[in-house]
Amino acid sequence: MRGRGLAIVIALCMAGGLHSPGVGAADAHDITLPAETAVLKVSPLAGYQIAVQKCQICHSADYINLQPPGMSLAQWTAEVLKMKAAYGAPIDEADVKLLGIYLASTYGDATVPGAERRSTPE
Amino acid sequence: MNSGDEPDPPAPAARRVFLRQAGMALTALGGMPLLGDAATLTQPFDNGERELIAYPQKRPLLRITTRPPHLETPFAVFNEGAITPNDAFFVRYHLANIPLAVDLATYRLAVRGKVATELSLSMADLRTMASPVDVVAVNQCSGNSRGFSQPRVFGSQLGNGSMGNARWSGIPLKTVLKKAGVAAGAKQVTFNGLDTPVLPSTPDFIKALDLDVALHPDVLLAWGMNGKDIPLLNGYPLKLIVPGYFGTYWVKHLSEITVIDEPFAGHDAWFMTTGYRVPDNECNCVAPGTVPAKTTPISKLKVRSFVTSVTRNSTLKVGHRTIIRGIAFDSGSGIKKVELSSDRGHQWQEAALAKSLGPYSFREWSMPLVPTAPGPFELRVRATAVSGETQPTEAGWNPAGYARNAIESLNLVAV
Repeated sequence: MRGRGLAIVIALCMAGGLHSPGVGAADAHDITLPAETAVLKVSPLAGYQIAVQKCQICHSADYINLQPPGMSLAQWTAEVLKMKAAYGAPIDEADVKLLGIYLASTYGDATVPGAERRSTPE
Repeated sequence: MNSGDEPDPPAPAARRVFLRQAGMALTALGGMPLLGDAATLTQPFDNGERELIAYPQKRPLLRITTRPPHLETPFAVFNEGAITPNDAFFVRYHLANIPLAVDLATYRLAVRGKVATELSLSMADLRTMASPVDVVAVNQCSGNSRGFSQPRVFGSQLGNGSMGNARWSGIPLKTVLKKAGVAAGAKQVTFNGLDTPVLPSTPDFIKALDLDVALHPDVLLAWGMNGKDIPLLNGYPLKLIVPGYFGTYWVKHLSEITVIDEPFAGHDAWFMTTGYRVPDNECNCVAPGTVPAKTTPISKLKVRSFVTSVTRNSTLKVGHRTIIRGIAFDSGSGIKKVELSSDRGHQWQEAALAKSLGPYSFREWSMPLVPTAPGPFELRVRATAVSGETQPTEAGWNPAGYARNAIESLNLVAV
């Protein structure tokens, strides 16, 4: 059901770039979106790198940055699991766990068991 | 920074400049530059600071998310009139691959499924198929006011500005369905737009309406919004208008209508079968923090009312008459009355209703208020619909923070 058979002029806005300004004549409905400026909170936790690589495939960092403070590890982990189960995020079970830890300790409840698990320098 | 999503006077240029500089100073001082140096408004809940960013065809709006774009209307706009200007109307997408241009030479609306004749319609076809009709209707996001949920819930953290009221112009959906010829046994109609998911594993955004709703004469395929083309970010060139229903059904860049003879199911039905569902009970609510036993797709708007002419902590002069103004709406029975209370709900006084723009529209109201003694007080507003529906005193809670409609209260100060 995805635009099957429809010849549409479409420009992807992944990473807020790559807009080719109009295959047809430019009109008032040929738009360019403002730049994507939101960034995830930097962290030495392994989940940070996964978040940068995986979460931002489908959405900008402000989806995370603007969530309510104080969410628990269980809540953040459930939310990540929803991204996998409902929206098909390409993350495995280990990623879910590490993302939950990063998000809960960086954006939520500050005392997260397991947050001491740092990523190993490469 | 501004406090509250309740109305603030339009920011004068000088104030805007100050806000920009304040933001820059914060960055220079090493503050967490999550929001850059744009002007901001702060919603009255934790982590409520929002950038004001001008998107194409839009004035500066509160940016909720960048990709996909999600913009909220600053609440002060609702004091400008019953109609929400196109450039102030909220924007909400679910999937990041959105059309940034639509070429009318190639754009077609497909009508397929359980119909006698499949159709492929250009905008010119649609514009000449029937006489255009108008409906003034409120489009409100299911999650409008989600940020006020207690306890807080995940999702777009919205204040009260993810709603708007416009005059929509187009033709009835039923005109197109009748032309295609709905087959006997058809149950639902699904609606898809040009926006697509980034990954194939992500469900497409497709909504379904029961056939009787789809055939209601007020449901439109609209190209006009307040006399102009619908802005691209609101669904140009064609948007499904479902008056009285939450915005989730108002599919943008509508490109595909499919008539089905069994309940909508499968991977791409996620936004009906799992998302956008509320507890299946009268209040659409459960005990805070609990999971509903049974859910149902969110559907009709609930009656709401807001004060628009004064903001939180506004001062009113004792002994002076101040005209308090605001808006109210319901799912289409119309507004019967709007009442205000300045004594925490003990006594209510009826406001004067302004001219009706139609049963699905914002209804403006006004009432003079003369504070008799100095000090802080709380102003509450409550609407009752013609249907008899009214607003609850306490907000119901549900896991997704949908369909909030509790009585609003505003802290004011008499001096």
